[in-house]
Amino acid sequence: MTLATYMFKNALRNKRRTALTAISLAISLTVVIFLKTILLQMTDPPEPKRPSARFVVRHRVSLTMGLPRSNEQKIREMEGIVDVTPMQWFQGIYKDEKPENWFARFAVDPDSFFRVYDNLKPASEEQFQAFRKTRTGCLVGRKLEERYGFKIGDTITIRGDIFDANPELKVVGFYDVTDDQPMNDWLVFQIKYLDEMLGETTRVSSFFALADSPQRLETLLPAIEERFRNSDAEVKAETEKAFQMSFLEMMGNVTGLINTLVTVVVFAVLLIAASTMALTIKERTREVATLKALGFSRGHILGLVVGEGIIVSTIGGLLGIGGSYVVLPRPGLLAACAAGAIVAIIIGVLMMAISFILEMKQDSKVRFIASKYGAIIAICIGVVITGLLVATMPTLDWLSMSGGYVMAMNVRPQTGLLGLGITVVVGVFSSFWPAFQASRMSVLDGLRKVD
Amino acid sequence: MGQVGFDQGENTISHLHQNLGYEKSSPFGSLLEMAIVAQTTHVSKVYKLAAAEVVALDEVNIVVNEGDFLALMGPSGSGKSTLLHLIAGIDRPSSGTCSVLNFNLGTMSESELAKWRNQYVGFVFQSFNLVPVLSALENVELPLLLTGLSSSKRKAQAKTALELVGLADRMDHTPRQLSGGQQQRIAIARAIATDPQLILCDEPTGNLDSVSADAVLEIFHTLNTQLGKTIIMVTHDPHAARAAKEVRYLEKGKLLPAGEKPKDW
Repeated sequence: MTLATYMFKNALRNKRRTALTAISLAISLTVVIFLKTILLQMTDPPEPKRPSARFVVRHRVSLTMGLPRSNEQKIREMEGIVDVTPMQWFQGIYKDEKPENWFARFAVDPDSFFRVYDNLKPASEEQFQAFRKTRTGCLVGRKLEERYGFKIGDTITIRGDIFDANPELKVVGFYDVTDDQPMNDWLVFQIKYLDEMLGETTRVSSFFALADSPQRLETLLPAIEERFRNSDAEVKAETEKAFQMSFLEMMGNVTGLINTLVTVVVFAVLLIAASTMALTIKERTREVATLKALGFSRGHILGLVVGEGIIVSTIGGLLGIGGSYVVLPRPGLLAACAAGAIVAIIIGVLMMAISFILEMKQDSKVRFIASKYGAIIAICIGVVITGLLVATMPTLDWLSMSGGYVMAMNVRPQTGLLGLGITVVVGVFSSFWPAFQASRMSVLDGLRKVD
Repeated sequence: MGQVGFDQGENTISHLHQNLGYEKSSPFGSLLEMAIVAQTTHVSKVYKLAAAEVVALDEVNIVVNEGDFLALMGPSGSGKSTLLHLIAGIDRPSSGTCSVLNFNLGTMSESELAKWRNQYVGFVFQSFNLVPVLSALENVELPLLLTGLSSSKRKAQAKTALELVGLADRMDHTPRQLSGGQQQRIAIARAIATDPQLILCDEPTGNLDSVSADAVLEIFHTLNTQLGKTIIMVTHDPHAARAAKEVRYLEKGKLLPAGEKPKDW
């Protein structure tokens, strides 16, 4: 036996308590990692693997204030510009307003769109030509094809909400994404069709343009803004990443809100763990006094108790961090697990209540089952419900569930490290005060409590 | 007295010394000079409770020599446990000096006292105080974790101590799987695992039936007579006290002269 073995045995002495503490930490860590991952996805979306020379030109004041279509030519004429394409965010409603039916819809110019978005490729030249030539034609990303089972010839009706138009679009083909950018669930249709429905050449929400190199953007973006200064539509030229950030700004101080939530969750779990450790050590007053009588110093006692706290928190931490890596990228699995956990908790509480209510009836079979097997029954039902939901639930993705704000929920290394940091902090700080008190307790006081 | 398994006798006893491979210097220098194990000089202990002062020990002078087996007796509140705690270094006197194994305990810090106890003193409690999640062997090994011995040597030492108390065949049992008497024998094995010179016992038979108590006293007798351990035992039990070589009585915090008993005893 070593001191580490002794710590492990102490940590697992009351298995139920340790399991509950570890699970509460695991759930809290999952919440923290979930929130931090969302925040990172919104504030620091993944960089494309190769630097992008694509950028956005929009109205200086707001996206909702469009830019005149004539700006396209003015931008095109600037030095360093390779191509420009107008893009109008159509939004609209497909089927209903449920999040699972949300996807991005753009009115575009077919030729320049695929030149500027050189990472998007129509499935075939025939489909591209069909898109160019069909007034009401549309191309859809592969992910939409998978989600809805769209086939060529299908009609997609979008009810306009921003615009007073309800385009009836004919699927003429699909496109593929050739890099890691999450753009495979867009629907694009001809901007001419939108103009036709509205009876005018619409202003566009933005122009997307391609510079001759990513390095060019440093000088080109201010130059474009300068070019349109004092015009009737002053512009803001920015990188795609900065463009995405601007959506976050529209949501207010999300960063502050999420960080506050994270702090509250960490503090709550710290209190739970500290309370558990304090109770655990209080129950062992006699044992601590005995150890000191045997020659264990204050430092030894402090180390043993803090070590025990770290072991318990590490169990919970690994569960939470590992679980987050598995569950968070899969919203369907996450929802199923959450539902299963809630059902398990409700059944567990019910079992405890039954056990408590029937406490006086010692011979009650119901009480016996509830008290002895309540936790196992609750966990089993929770697992079954999770399994059933996973099997029957439609495929969900973060992009549609978040209304376009979160593209994916891949836990990043720094978030995992944050989880580890919280694990250590909870382990050390939850046990430090009980450990400090135990280390300072006089041997005599400890022994007297019993003897 | 019950048979508690000293069949391996001399071999087991010599192993306990041989197995202790870590550096443990004798506080006496030369064994030939060893005579006084514990000595208190004008030791008093006063507890302050609100406005009142309770004198637990009053000017106690006692000398315990090497190889003694001393029983401390007296009515409740007479100060016998307090005296034991002062000699063990787990309490400090209000006045006077307490010298044990040539260490002046009054000058030692908490951590020095802890290390000293681990090396030189074995403690046996009334309620055994074994760690429930550890096996008998692991419980005995517990004080050895602080000695710097290798894992194999610790295990060997703990096994030897268990053999000495006749429970080598129960080394994998947890305290719950053992009777009270067996648990106390494990506690004794734990106390002698570091081969201390002084063993302090606080009512070691108080929670035991007579058969188990006899077995425990038999072990103390062997530790004292064959291993030369000095034993100081606090007890209420006259039968237990008879196992000691000498019995001293305390009354109202005062140590009575040798051979003198409190009134009504």
